[in-house]
Amino acid sequence: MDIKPIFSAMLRNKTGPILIALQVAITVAIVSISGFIISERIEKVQRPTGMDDANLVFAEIAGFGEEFDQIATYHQDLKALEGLPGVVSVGYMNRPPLTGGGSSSTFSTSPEPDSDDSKGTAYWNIDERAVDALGLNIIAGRNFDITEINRTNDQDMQAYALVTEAYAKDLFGEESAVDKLMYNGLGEPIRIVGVIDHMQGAWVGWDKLDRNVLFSSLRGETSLGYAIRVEPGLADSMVPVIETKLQEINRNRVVTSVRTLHEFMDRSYRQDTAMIKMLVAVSTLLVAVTSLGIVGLAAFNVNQRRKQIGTRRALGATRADILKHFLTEAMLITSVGAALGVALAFAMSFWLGTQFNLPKMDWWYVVPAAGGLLVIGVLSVLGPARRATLISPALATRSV
Amino acid sequence: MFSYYLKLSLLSIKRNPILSTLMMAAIAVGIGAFITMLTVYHIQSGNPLWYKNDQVYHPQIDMWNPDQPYRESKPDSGPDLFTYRDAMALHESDIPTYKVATFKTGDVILPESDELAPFRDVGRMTYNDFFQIFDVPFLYGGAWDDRADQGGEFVVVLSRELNDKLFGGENSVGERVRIGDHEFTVTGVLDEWYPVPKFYDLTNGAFQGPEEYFMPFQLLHTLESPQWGNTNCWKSEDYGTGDEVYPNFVNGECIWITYWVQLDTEQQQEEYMDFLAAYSSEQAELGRSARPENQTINTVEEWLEWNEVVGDDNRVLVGLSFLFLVVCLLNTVGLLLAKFMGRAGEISVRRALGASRLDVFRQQLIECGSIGVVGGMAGIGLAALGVIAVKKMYSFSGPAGMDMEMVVTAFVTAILASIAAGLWPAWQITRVPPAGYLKTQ
Repeated sequence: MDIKPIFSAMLRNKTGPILIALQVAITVAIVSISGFIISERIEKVQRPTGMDDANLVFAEIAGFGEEFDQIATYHQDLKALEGLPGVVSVGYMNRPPLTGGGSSSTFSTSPEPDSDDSKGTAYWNIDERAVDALGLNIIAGRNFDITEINRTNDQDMQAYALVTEAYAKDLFGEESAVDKLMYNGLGEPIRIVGVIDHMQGAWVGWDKLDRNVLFSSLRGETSLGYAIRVEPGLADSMVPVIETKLQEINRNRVVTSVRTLHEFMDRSYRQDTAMIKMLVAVSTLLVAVTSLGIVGLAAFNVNQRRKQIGTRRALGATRADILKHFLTEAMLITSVGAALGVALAFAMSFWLGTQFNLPKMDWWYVVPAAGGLLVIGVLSVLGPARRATLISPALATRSV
Repeated sequence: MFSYYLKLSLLSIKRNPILSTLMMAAIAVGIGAFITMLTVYHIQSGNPLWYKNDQVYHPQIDMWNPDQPYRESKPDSGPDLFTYRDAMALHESDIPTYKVATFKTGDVILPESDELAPFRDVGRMTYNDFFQIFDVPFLYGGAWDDRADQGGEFVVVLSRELNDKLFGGENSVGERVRIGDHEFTVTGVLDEWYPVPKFYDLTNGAFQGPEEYFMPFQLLHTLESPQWGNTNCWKSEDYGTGDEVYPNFVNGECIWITYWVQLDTEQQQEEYMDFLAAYSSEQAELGRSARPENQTINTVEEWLEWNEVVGDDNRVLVGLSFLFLVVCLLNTVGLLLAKFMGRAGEISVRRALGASRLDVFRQQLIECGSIGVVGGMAGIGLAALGVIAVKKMYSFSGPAGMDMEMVVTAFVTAILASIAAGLWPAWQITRVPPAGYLKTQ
């Protein structure tokens, strides 16, 4: 089909097509950048936790008064929780992971205090049951033995640890970490008994999220935390059951929190999920507004050119020719707009990268955005164009 | 003349209901999205203590690791928190009008009545100046006296919420509350107080609510109050065992205390800077500080900036939603063009009857303005809904929302935007030669 007459028809009324092309350009740019940010955030939110996260519930209690006995409470709680129908496995963990709160420290392979080659990690205290309760996977070495759990409040007894593979690599490179010693900042030795393939720690925005050390210790004078694995699908419904049970068996303490791991994760990723939702909302509205604009312009054009269309039909143009005319026109405008949009997307991505701490957009994100807008442009024009094909050739012979 | 034009534009809006509605909808959606994002930005970038911005200061000194700055990205800046020892050294100074060392803590509260089970709540150790410096409103009673600041008296100020819970909202001044292992006497109950951002302690998130109870700072030794905020340490220290641990930790090199001063005059500010400089160089001579030149005082605004309270995400969203508004306006320009062109005949008659180009131009702009008014109002409604939705997404329960400033911004933006959108079409229509249209009539 000859583009020239279409082009000259457009030139007779430039403003409309220019407006649409600009809208398409901005839309393509925003949709590609949003698409990039959205997919990056989705990837972040969906990283594996290394735990049986869907089926985990965490309970925390705080004791008060002189009579509170931490170890006795621990045994009583374990028994009560394990007796609950629906509970698969229970272990001690000083606080839940992925809450945005926790402890971090550095350890080194050298006994020198505050050694220069210290590597940062989050750390936790657990008992020998927690590995099973959390659903962690030990890939080298072994779990703690019950005799290795420090039940006193003696700081020096913090002598055994499980480490994640990522942290083992930080310390020992490719060598096996099992049975090796690492040292805390005071130069006290800690024996690594096993390596866990993967576990996420406390802060989702930290680049050391997968660096974790688990100590065999029940330390903590008045508080206790439990990791509770329940049967699949029961996590939410078990929360009130666990809370009631813990309150019932001992009134001499406060059940400070019973929550599913997914609830903690939702909170930790709230910023990211909110960003995803808002970008989806803005992009969807934007595409809707732009396509309405295309429909509007096409409808206006069809109305304005009724007479010319009738004349063309009278001169032998088929309905298909008329349809093609408007489709080609739409293609032309959206193509120009999309090309502009691609350039705009790269410029914006570059500018965002310099202004904010945002990674640069992968180039191919513009492809679906530009392609999608082309399709939407053609689809939007279909309705008005079909109405144009219905214009009777007889119109050409009427004067008004 | 204005009211006549207004009547004309209402007529014209009525005559073209679909096109007019579309235009209003485009403006409403654009304004709605943009103002929603701008309001979130406005909330995040707010400064609740703006009226005391040249009086209230957050000092900073640098006693951090000699080998490494506190933040690699801010090598000229000390940490955001203080060690106990430094906070107490600053507290010796008589230069500030008010001064306050404070940190977040928490404990179990044991209500008198059996109906209410014991619960754990979040509290704050602080000096009585806290309530002065930050203009904290009291519902009943007031802060404890200066003697209680020494730490010998078990007194407490409750939040309104906690007072509602424990005493059913009654005036509880003089009543006793059991918190942890001790009985405390209530000296005051706060009124509603929810500063956004939580400028006085940004370390655990800038958008949390304030604490539920407040106690004299120096009680920390007796209560061994746990640190519920951030604790950062650069040096490994042996705290020993048993009863030695807490005092050893308190006197160690870990930072966990927030410090604020009120310096009303320029002279006070200069003197205080000199005081900080003298303290820093004295500590440098003792071998404690490697970067004694890193001391400064920050206004609340500077402090919010330093802590990067406004997220990059939010700035990006404001920019994107502005572009969205631009697209909505481009759309409106197209629709207006179509609408005005459809009226070329009518305009030509008016021109022929003596209306000048300027008259026609003015009339078109007034019509755009009225569309902007309606679109803007709808946009404000959409933005109000949008802000509620966004607050829900962030699970933010604070009172902050759209204020008058944002409503006015929305309205003015809507009208200006629709007039700007109307400029080109209105000008186009004035250029139509009347003769051509009159002939066909």
